Amino acid sequence: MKITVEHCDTPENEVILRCRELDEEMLHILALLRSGMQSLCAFTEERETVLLSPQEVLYAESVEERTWLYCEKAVWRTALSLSELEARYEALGFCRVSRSMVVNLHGIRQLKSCAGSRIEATMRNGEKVMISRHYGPLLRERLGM
Amino acid sequence: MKQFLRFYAWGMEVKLYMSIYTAAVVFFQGITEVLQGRYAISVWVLLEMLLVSFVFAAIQYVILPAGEWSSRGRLAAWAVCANVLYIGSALVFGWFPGVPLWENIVLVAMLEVSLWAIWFGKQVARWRDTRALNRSLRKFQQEG
Repeated sequence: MKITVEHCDTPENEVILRCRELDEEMLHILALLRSGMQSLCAFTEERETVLLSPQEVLYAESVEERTWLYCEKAVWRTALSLSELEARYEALGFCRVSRSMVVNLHGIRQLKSCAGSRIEATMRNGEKVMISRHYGPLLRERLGM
Repeated sequence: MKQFLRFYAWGMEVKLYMSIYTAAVVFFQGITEVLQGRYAISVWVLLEMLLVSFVFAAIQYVILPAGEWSSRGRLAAWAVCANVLYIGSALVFGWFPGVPLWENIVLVAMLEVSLWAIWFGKQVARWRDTRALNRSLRKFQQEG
């Protein structure tokens, strides 16, 4: 696939995809562009809202039926459930790693194989997240192992 | 069906380790017999070794379930069980008759080295897995 970046005087950034037909590769790129444009609406307990880019989120955790988004320096709440986050941002690397957690694979610094077939993920901010034995094989599959 | 599958998995794991341990004990028994100019092992001794190895493999399944090879307490319990079972059985069943003291010391040392080698093998497997995981992660992150 040929990639061309043109610098021109345009009021708004524009992406044009040229193809004979919408094949798997093009559909994947479209999904990525669409999900990349989707901002995640998050808020604090004081209802202060913010639009986050999914790439900013390191992982999401469900605690007492509330979903929390953990970024590098802040924690936000979202109205979306873990299943919804996983479904919407799967193409961006969101992956379920336990019943109560979804991790952004791009936010992982390193992985470590642990006892009981579990995997320990060290996130970009140094936090450690444990991937359960049940979800380990799914993570390996996502990583193409 | 679930119970049967669980029992089947247990059987597969225990039989695998039972076979490895039996082969190791028979190998060392064979060496000591040859050193003493004998070239035969009693069928009863072989059965005893098989039974003891089965008991040890079953204990190992409980103490060290899949992947729990890094817990120090469990590893210590596992090593103590191995020593008690194999040294105790060798004394009770008389697996190594007429063996001089130095050979007994070598046999115990070999048991300890074998236990360490099993643990080390598990660690190597985990290091390799960690390396493969990180390699795949980097590839995924670069492609994404």
